[in-house]
Amino acid sequence: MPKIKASFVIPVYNGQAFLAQTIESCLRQTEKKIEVIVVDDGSTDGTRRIIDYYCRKDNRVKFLLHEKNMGRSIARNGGNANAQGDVILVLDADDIASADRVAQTLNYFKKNPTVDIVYGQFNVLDAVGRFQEGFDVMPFDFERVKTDKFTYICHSTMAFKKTVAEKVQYTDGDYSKHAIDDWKFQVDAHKAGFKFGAIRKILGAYRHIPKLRDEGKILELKNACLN
Amino acid sequence: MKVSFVIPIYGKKPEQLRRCLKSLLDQSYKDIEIICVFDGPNEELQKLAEPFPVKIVNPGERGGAPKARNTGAKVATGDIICFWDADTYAVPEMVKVWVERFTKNPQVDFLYSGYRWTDPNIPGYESEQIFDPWLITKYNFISTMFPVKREKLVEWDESLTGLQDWDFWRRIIQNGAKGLYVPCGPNAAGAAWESDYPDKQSISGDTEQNTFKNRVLAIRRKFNDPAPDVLVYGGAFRYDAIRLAKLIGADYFWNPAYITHDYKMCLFVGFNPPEFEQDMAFLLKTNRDTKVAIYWMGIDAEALGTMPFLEVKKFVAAINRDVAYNFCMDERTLQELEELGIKAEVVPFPRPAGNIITTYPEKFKVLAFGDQENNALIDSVIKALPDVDFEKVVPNKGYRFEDYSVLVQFTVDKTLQDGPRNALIGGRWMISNIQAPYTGYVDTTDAAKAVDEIVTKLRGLQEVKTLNAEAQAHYLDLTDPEKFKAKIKGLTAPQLEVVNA
Repeated sequence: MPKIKASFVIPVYNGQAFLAQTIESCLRQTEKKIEVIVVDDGSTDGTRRIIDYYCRKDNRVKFLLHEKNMGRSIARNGGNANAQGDVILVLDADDIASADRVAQTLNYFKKNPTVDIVYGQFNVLDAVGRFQEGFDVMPFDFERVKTDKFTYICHSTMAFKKTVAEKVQYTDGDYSKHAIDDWKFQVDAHKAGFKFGAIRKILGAYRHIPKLRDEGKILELKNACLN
Repeated sequence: MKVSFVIPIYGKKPEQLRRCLKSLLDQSYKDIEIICVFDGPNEELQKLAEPFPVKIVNPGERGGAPKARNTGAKVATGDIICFWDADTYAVPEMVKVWVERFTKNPQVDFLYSGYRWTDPNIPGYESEQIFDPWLITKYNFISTMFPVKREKLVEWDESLTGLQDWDFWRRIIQNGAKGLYVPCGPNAAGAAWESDYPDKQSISGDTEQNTFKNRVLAIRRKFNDPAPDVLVYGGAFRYDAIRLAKLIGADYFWNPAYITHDYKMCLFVGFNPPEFEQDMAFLLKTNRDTKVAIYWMGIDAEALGTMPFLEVKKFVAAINRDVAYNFCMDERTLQELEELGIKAEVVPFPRPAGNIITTYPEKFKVLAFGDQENNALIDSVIKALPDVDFEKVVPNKGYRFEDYSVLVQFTVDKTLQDGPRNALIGGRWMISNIQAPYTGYVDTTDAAKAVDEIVTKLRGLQEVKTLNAEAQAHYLDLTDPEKFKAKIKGLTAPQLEVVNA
């Protein structure tokens, strides 16, 4: 068995509609020495059948099963803890990784050994996969995060060294419930002294599915950890 | 295979006869014989014909074309007999095509196609591309000048004053002969030959008094044709119209000149503005007591709605004045008609005859169809289920519902058209954006939710190993031909008048 260079971690809860496309995008990577860890966070729909199908089809696909829905933060932390690669690639269960995402990511880390966390450009798709718009990257600037409350990082393009996951965890509770656990993780990683790097390449596609969010509560949560 | 051409000759111009004989003798297929039967003496034409390699028959007196044809047929020695006219010119290769087709299709007894006139300004005749023995009892679609096998030949009826060709082919077909439409010419109508447009000197001896209607009547009497209460009419949806006419025992033709008796109802299948304007005016003039009905097919109501405002107003006013009943296939068309100001009634179109599907595929297989608008949705569903066998519908390919477990269909047109309805009649499961019983309705407003819902439904159906018997029973009942029959019968039955004592 060749050494695994990088691990995708995909938490999923009732994601039968788009999970197959997400896993396919991992298996299509130009860099073949990867693993794909799918964390089924207690799905009640056909998610398990998709995971079973890919586990049988490709032995690089592995899965963790939560009998009950524990929330996405716990699912992510569990996936990260089980990753064998030195690099962990974040991917949400309805997003798409570009075919060269792993290759670009590993190449960037190699050229920039002091960087711990990377992210890249991305396209936005509508629910059924039609291209909407493209987004460029900006350097990570904590002063701007404080004023704008945004990190401007597309989570599904983000990757970090295993050492980051050993020190920083995704936060459970309200941050997970209001789907800003990714934002909190980025802020916490910065606070822990890890260095960010932006890759000027399209690393993936984000499927934009409009959801109702409690913006007031989200702002409150963000301010609580910035001040 | 020898082909005999029997040509009755009377009152034609020399250049016509010369061109006619040349067109036959110049054919690439050479095993032919030509028999010129002079219907009354004509020295000039006989002299012209004699140098050609033809048989001359001259009974010495005029007996009419049918008699001349019978005389000629008696001396013909070919395996195939073709009666021909002296003002008709074969396209090159015609006989070669005919002989090839006869050889390839030994079960076929005669061939026919369309024809055209030498005057290009007069439209040619395209004939019926599907041979239907029922149809020939309603009107003639086969001209005299087509080849028939000798053993199926009948004598021409010399007592008729017109439409002898209709009588001739009807009797041949009545004897069980099978015909085949064979286009020969390079033109669209597949014309085998072209003819000079007939003038007053025509051999049939037409007179003003001997009207077409009387000639039709003579044939209908000869064959003891029934005089049904209903006339089904319509060229735009002809195969649907023919199907309905057969089902309810009605007359069917597209030419109102064939009307010989008063119908209780004239049922237009599909609304076709020119037909409606011209033919219905004619119909209402001749049959004042006929109740007019329109069966709206859906697309016609849609088309009417997109016409210019004043046109729509004009047609709707005419429909509301002249049409007693408006029927349509489904609720959606009903609504469309209502918006136009036409009151209609849903009477499901009867299903086609044929075997009902009773089998269900062992392996779960999905037939998926989405139009341009819904293509991405269909693709998302297909990608979501990598372990499911999908067949995505592409144009111009045939699909048999019995090969599939489920039909997934999402199109802009949300009416339950024949295709998906036939799937339900066949007991297939269905997932669609059509709101009708057993169509597996999914709202597509929220696309992500729609994909998830479709996937969930498909996962559920994967566990089902039998056909959708409930849907099948529902639609078999709904489209029961007897129901349609009873509906029309109820409207045309004699009404008892209530008389106050």
